Amino acid sequence: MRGAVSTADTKIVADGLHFAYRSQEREPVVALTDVSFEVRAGELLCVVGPSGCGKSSLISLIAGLARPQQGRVLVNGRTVRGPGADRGVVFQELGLMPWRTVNGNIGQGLEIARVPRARRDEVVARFVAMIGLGGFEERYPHELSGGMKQRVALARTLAADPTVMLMDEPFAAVDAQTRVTLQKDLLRISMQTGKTIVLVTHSVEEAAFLGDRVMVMTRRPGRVKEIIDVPIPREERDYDALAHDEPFNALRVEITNSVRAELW
Amino acid sequence: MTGTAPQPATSSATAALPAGPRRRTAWRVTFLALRRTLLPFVALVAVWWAVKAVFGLGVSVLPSPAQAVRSVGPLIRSGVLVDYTTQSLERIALGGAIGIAVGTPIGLLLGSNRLVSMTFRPLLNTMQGLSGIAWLPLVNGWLGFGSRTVLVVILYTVTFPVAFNTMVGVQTLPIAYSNALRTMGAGRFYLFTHVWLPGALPSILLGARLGLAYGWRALIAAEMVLNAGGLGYLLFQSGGARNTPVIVFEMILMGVIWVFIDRALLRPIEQQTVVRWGMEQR
Repeated sequence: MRGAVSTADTKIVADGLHFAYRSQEREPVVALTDVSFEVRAGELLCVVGPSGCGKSSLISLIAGLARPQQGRVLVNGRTVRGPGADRGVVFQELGLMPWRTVNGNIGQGLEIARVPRARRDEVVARFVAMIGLGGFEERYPHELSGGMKQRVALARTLAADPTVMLMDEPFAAVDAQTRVTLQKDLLRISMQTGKTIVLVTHSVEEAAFLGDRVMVMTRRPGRVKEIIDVPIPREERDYDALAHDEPFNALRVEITNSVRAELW
Repeated sequence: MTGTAPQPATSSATAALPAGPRRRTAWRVTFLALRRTLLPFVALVAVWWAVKAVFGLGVSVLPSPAQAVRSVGPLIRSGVLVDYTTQSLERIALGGAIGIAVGTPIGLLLGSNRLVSMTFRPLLNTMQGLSGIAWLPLVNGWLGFGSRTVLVVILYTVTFPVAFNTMVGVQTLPIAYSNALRTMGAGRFYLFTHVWLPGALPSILLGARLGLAYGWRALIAAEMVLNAGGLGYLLFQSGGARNTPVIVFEMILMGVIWVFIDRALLRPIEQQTVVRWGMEQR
């Protein structure tokens, strides 16, 4: 793991990341220190850890919205120096434009990339169908439910066709029932699109259900504590079946204990 | 799609309202709202009338509502009312339009750059405390007694509230908007036109409303001082002639014109944008 040897199969390399920022009170806060890991192409890596362990900072660093003081992030073998359309982010706050309709929001990445109108409409229509929002194309975000907004944000990122998708607690703000639906949607879409996904969550449940691997972080300053394999093919993941699956439950307990040991 | 069908969050999803009884209810609501709006005005006129009657005030001190209304006849027949009103409206329209056009980009620039806003904010704040009328003697010396001087005063009065509010509007926008677009490859110019401008629109409109209200008052004051025509000039002339009915009538007219500008111009823009996008600030 350490030493970051990149292969054709490696999509993201985090190499000795150290990241500190200033808090509201101007106090320096070390969010991450000595963080190294790799993400394979097409993998869905879930990151869990106690709150304040730098999970969100990690997303910002890969996205290029923040710069590490030490170390570097490589995506497709190139060092990240700023944000770019190859790395799409689904933010916890979503950041949908209130002044744009569902269609307008989903098509915005393509608009920025100057994709011709006709082609853009075609792609947008495909993603509207994929997230099941047919009939809501001309609605504004404030007219949608939380779960629907969540889907629009996901579709917006997907439509821009990044090679890597970064998701920061994407389902934290919706009710439990909607969350399960969205998780199933994400699994299905991840299989359909083959994207490399890094998903940060505070829910061990969610991480074990979605992740090919689960990365556990220590409490602040965040380090990589361990990376746990979830040896269940994505197409076999089903909440009802896994609820009674012994190996899966054992894994879930293992991850839970690992995170719990990091709580203050 | 999996399992649950998506449901709209609000009832605004149901577009067509059934006709009939519900329509009549809508009319009733409008009527009640109108009655509620007019009530304080009726009360004010009643108090005005009562004060005049109880203290036995002559017309040189305070005209009656009827006298004020009757004074409008000669003003219209001679054509001065239409001329001066048109002149004032042209000035506020031109000064207001330029003020908004200048203040908005300044506000966007200030709001989008922390260093620039920290540098210029104290100056901006100071200028806000300096009324447009305070510039009048100086500008008068440069541009003379005329429309240009009035315009500069309005322009100054409108620009600062617009710039200031636009700046605050940009600064209070959720960072997730621009971050989301930056991760889709958006550059600074795109953020300007597609995040900061539409995102600050509620604040820009608030600034425009404040600016135009201040501007309208400054206009009357400037016209009074400059002898440059317009409603302010008419008001000043009537004062010299102790023509109180005309004075009071004009005061009412100025208030009514402002309400018209606000309701007929600013509110519809708000309805078409901010309200439609669910960004109305309450």
